Amino acid sequence: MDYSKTLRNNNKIFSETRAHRYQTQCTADLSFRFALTGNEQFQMGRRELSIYPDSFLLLNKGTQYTSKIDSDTPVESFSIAFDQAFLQDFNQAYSLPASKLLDNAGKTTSDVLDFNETIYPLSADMRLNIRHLKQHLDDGVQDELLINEYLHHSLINYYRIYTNEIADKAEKLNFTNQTTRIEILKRLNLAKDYMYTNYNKNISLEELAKHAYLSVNHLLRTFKQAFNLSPHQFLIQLRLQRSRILLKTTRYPINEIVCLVGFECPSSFIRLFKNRYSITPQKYRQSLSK
Amino acid sequence: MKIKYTQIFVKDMEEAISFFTKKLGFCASDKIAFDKENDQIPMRINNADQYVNLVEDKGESGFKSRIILSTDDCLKDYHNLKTMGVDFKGQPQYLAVGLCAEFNDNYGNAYVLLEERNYNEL
Repeated sequence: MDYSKTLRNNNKIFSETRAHRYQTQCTADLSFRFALTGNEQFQMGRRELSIYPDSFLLLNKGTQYTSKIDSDTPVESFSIAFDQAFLQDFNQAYSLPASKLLDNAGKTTSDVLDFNETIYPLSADMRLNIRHLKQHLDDGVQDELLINEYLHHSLINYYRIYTNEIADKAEKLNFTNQTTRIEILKRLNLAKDYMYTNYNKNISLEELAKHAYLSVNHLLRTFKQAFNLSPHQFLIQLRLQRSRILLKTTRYPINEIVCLVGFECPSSFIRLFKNRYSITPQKYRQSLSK
Repeated sequence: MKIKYTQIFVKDMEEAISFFTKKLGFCASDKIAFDKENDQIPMRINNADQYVNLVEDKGESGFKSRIILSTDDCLKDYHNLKTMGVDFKGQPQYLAVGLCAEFNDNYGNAYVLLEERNYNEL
């Protein structure tokens, strides 16, 4: 369902379902962008990012970007833009531990909150809250206090994801200097973004290292430190996770899903899937239709 | 066999009925004489076949209950109940089992509004 809603406190919510769309914009406020079904691509300068239902993108205030939807089936695009005052209020109540801060997150320098502009995994709590919110808006609910309750909670969810994905990961890096840790983690996130976006293509380590502005050795070592996984293992997990979304939301045959998520051989896909989820893809799909 | 009635001890029956019906949205059924001393008023919500029976605590037994209410949207019910004047102990909290918010009645009984969440599903 399509709508654009501006609340009295200037928080904004957009919902649009499109198979094709192309737009260039500049964010007026810090925004979360979701693709609840299908995928949406973003270009910011030379960075290309693609979001799927298991992830979302944070855009800081004043970011120039182009977004594109080009799909056979309609994509549910949903976004929230937070008013600065609302964010500041929230931040005062829920400030992140100061020692763990990246960028200016949580700090009020120049009164603008600035977070790591990257693709984040969409946690189950955030996904469910967003789903509930969207359902209420689709049903025409006008109660702004209720809507703001959900927006408040999406920030609580985001702060937890931020702590897990950014602050805690930076702490794991073996560098004494905090600034170095932050810089390396930012670059590792560039590598992660690249995998989130190109997960179904053949990605070489050289290519990945180039996008992260790190040497191959450096990338391998630091990635493992931060995420407890090699980039290859991370990519395999991501492909398996996305195959699960396709098994759940589409009727594509399994052989087709194998190719769609970037595996070459169905038997190794089935083996890896079973190792990870203790169920075969076929049985997983059957279990959902019961 | 199944669970049908649980009991909550309250100090003031009239006030408790009003709390359950006006604030929480329960319906009162006809009173049942479970034993010689006490009448109990079964309360239920959404026509469920489970009741909480309000029992007047005439002595000083001080018996307290903790009731877990299931919801499919904790934030919505939290917001609606708060609007109706229910005094929550704090904001909804994220637990391993899901999202929950807690409030008390005037007699020391605790109520937990729980939205169970499956964190393994996509």
